[in-house]
Amino acid sequence: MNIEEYSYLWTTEKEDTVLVNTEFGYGIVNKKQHTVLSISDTATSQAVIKKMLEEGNKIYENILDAYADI
Amino acid sequence: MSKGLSGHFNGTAGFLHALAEEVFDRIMPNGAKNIDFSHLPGSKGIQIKKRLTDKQMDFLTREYGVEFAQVYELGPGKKGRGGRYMIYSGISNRVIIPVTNKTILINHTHPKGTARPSPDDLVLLALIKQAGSPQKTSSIIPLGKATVKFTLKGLKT
Repeated sequence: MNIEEYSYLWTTEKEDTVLVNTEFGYGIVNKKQHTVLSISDTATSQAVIKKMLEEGNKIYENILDAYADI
Repeated sequence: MSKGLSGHFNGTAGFLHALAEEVFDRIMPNGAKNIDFSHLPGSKGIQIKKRLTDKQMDFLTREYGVEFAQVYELGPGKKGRGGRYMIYSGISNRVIIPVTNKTILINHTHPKGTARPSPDDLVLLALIKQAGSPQKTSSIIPLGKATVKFTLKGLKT
């Protein structure tokens, strides 16, 4: 699986792209644009989130906390 | 507007008219009409006059091979009236949509035909709830299959 096409999430857009926790796992959120990236392929989604965690993208417990932290 | 561009669109009014036609009716070989776009909406989205039917969403997905999401942005009126319908498109297995307390994700398509919510669909619905939206149920239009509804508890029967 090649997740390189998502690398902007943990490089050029790392400051704005964060993980938000839910009862189903993390969501990929752009806290500046107030948008959510939804990836329907579970394996790809999990790999992207794992990479974001490794790269140190910020984590929030609620999407409103993420939106407020700009 | 430059004189050349203005001339191409037969004046400013013509240019504005061309912009307005990013959504249009496409006449099919059998005479049927389908909604279509001059360009894919992407994560910026395109506003549409009224809610698209499941059949129209299926047509767009089949035609372009990408995921589409239909969102209603709640308006200031009673029960959110006066809002607007927006269409977003992604790449085959992903889409970016705005999530605020005014977001109602009416439905989205699954180009691969999966008739159940993915874990990310449930995450998305949970984030919409976190944002303060009153939404509880959304729909999935799996390509070539019947529409299914889902909540945070999973498929709704």
